[in-house]
Amino acid sequence: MKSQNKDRLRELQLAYIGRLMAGLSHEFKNHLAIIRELSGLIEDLLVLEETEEPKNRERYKKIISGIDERVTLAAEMCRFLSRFSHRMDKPLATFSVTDVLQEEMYLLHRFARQKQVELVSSFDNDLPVIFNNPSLLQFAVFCIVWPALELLEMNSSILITVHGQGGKVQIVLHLQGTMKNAENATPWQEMLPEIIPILGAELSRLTDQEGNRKVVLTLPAIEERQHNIP
Amino acid sequence: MSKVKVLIVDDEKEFATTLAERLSIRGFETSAVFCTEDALALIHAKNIPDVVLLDLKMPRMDGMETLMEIKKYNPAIQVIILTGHGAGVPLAGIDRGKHGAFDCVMKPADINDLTAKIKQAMEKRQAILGKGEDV
Repeated sequence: MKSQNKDRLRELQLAYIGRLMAGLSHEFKNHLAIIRELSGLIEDLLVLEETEEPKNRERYKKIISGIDERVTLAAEMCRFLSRFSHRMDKPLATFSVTDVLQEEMYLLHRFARQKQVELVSSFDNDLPVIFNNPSLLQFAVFCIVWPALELLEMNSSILITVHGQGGKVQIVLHLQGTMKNAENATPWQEMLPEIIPILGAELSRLTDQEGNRKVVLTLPAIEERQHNIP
Repeated sequence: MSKVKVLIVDDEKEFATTLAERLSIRGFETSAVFCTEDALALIHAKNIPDVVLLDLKMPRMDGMETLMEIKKYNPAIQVIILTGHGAGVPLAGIDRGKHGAFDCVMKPADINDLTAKIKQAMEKRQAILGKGEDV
């Protein structure tokens, strides 16, 4: 890879991480805001009652369970965020594609919700582990999903299926629904041809008779990759 | 004296309804809607709130577009942006004549700060209405 392209890759990776983090911190503040309002409401109701024995016991229980639920959601978000951040610890690692994609899907769901595009994933149970660059794989998937989110009309869907095949792992992104015509390729799309060879992967794009598009990303098997690192 | 009418627009239903209840305990007349389209429909149906608490990031039409629509329809309505958006609201959106927001409050907000802001926004609305500006 040319040094100019390496700089561009780094720049885009930072931009993508920034985008995900900004979205996530926004969501995190939403959970905190709800926790604050719910606990504040208990306080308000207690002040209003001014009795030793609260009358609205059931109501308090419901509010407290709402607080608990939000804490759970915020904690889950931190867990995924931490896992996502640690993917960058090592440029090469043995990992489960399911884990890597599940955490990425979790982070992308918020953006899909905003665009009103359904983002669904389905993973085969017996997927082989692979040896590759996990954060670069997440970035490659982002480079496919993000432009699709930008271009798909409301009520479309992105279905991601992952299959194992003789040690290789195939990620298929089914883009279902009407897509706006893009005048130019996005920087994310332009970066994909640079990333795919680093992953030792293959990328193909197919369109069926209904016009639904499919992007297939095939990742090499562990043995193949360990002997063929660029 | 009639109660100050506050409309909360936020796609986080639990947040909007809980805040509405807390503000009503504090003497405001509140209503909550969970999308910008419902907020605009309400306003166009002449259910004019005094103050709107508006989230920025919502599906379909976002808060800034909604702010512009509200101010275009009725510049006397005071809009407070209530957001968890990291960068807040672009400064151009805040209190720039008739078409900006009155202020921006970051989530999670303190209820007393928010109540104070609503009261200040109401004073501004009364001043505009008192001057008989075109609304």
